[in-house]
Parts: sequence; structure tokens; C-alpha cells
Amino acid sequence: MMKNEIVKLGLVLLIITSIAGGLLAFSNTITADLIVAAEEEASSGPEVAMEVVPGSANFENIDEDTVSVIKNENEKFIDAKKAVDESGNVVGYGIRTLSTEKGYGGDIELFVGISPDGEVVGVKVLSMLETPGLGTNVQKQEFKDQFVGKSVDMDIEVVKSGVSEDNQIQAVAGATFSSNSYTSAVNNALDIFNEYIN
Amino acid sequence: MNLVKNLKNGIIKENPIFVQLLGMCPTLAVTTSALNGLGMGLATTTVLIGSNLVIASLRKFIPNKIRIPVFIVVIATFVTLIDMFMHAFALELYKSLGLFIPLIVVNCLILGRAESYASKNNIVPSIFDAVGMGIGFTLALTVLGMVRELLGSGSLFGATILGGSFEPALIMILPPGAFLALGFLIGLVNFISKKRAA
Repeated sequence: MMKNEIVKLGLVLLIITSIAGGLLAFSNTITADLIVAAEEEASSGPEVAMEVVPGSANFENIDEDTVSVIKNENEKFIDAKKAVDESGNVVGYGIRTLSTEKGYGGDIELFVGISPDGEVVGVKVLSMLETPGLGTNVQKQEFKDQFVGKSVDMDIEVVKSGVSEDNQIQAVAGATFSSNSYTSAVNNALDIFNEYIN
Repeated sequence: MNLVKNLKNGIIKENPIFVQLLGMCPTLAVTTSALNGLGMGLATTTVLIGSNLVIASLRKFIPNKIRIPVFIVVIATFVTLIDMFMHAFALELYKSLGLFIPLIVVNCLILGRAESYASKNNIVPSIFDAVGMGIGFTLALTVLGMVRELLGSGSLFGATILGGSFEPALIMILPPGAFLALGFLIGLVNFISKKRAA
């Protein structure tokens, strides 16, 4: 009697979990490709290209060997693309990297746009977990725009006030940590550009 | 007539947030903006309707002794489906709700309705119960998100409302703000319902 009941309960549970499993496997096959495409579009689609390298129309892959060499030697590096305009001319490069100094919520992920003659042309935050309304202010135009026009020849320095040198930028008030982390990602992108792409 | 009562029950008399205080974890965590609150509410409502529907229709087939594992499997399946489809089709929302989508599985509101309503009632009333509870939950989360977003970032659904001289009270979008806003809202709801009863 006892045994029978255990078998019966087990069977019912088995039937229900199998149906659930089948349903999930089915919807996974539908969504898996869509998810990859959506992630790709959001992180390296034309909209990102236009923002990171103004005047470009889309990103194109650079040669795979270079990417894997950088990946091996620079652990914060994620991806590099060339930005092309509508007729296919290369108008700049986009380097996707994490910060080398941690912010309050771990690494900040940036896409840094650099022109072929070695100037920062745009920066976009892809992901960060900084304090909302404080650290996340590094996304604001006033802070971001400071990087535009900086040369790749020198590392960028963060100062709290009174920018006096060409390679300095002013930290966001109350968010020095986040500003430092953000800048370290930009500097990492500059290093990668100098070493492998230029 | 009873079906309308089911709806009203979830929205007002037994509102999951303001009266039953169920599902506090997502309530406190994701309501940093009105849109996040609304998105979380709708995702939870979808899971709730799905699980109530399945559990009410299987209630005679599910042995009493293993009902809880069966409920969990059903709920977890719906949550995983939502997770996949949201990831594929609503990436922005998916990213801002983050970890809290998988956590819908352990939202006690859903298990609570399965156990106390859907497992004892027919399909149609169970669906109405789920819709009522879902609307009540969504409404509460959206209102909470609106209050916090308005005071904490000076905007509503992303559109700046209190610009210029308004200094956002940052604390409102940080965790303490969730408790403060929820406390005041529950107080307000109690005040109104007491007044009406008197």
C-alpha cells in the first residue's frame, strides 16, 4: 500500500516536471538566437556606433586574430570594432573595455570611440552598478564631453577641481570613485589603441 | 457577480502590498522608478495568471501530498518563460529588473494564491482572482515607483517634472526611501479605509 502510493506520487511529479522541461526546451530554442541578436544590437549596434564615433553609420569587425591577442594580454578588454560611414570608409575605432580600477559597484563597462589620428571622439557607458543619482552622473554630458578631443598620447588624469593640464578632467562632484573607475576604463582603451590598433 | 468581487478583492480589500504585505522583496527593491514598478507588476501578474490557470485546472490531478513541489515547478516554469521572452524582446526592461525576474519564483504572493485560492476553486474564478491580485500588485508597485521617482529624481516615467531649482532627495531612490515611501503609503491606505468604515 505504502509503496504503491510513493510510486504514484513519483509518477505524477515526473509527468508534470517532464511537461515543464519540454516546454522550457522548446521556448529556449525559439528565444536563444533572438537573445544573442538583441544583446549584440544593444551593445554594438549602429546606434552605439553613431554615439561612440560621431559620423559613423555602423561598426564592423576587425581582424579576429588581433582581438584574441588583445584578449589574452589585457584581461579587461572585451571587444574592438572599426566604425565605418555609409560608404564603408573607416572613420574611427570603438574599444569596449571594463575599468581597471573598481568603482563602488564593481567594474564599469565602456565603449570608447577613437579617431584614426588618435583622439577620443566619444564614450558610452554599457553597464555599471554605481550609486543611482550620484555615481551614475558619470553618464551625464558635462562629464562625458570632457574626454572628447583628448589625445591618446597621454593617460588621462582625474582632478577634483581646477583643470590645468590638457590631459586632466574634472571628477563628478561627490563621485570621485566612480569618476576614477570610468577614467581608468578610458585609459585602458587608449593603451589598447596605442599598442595594437594604431 | 462573484467574479467582480474577486477582482475588487485583490485590488482594494486584500491588496497584496498595502493590506497583505506579500512579496516585499521585489516591492522594495525594484520601485526606484515608475516604469520599473509597472514592468515588475506586469511580469508578476502574467506569472500569477498562468500559475493560477494551470493549478486550478490540474487541482484534481495533483495529489495533496506533493502539491507544494508541483506548485513550485509550475511557477518556476512560467517565470523562466517570462525571463527568456523578456530577454529576447524587452532587453532594456530586462536589464533594469535584473535579478528580480528569477526571484518572482519565490514571490509569496504567487504561491499564496495557488495554495489558498487556485487549488480550491474553478478555473474562471481563479483567473479573476489572479487578475485582481495582479492589478492590485501592479498598481501598488507603480504608485510606489512614482512617489520615489518623483521625489528622488524629479521625474515621472522618465520625463522630468520637477526641474530647475528642485534638488532631488536622493535617499528616495536608495533603499531607505523604499521603506519610507511604503510606510507612508500603507499609512495613507489605512487612514482612508478606516475613515470609510467609520
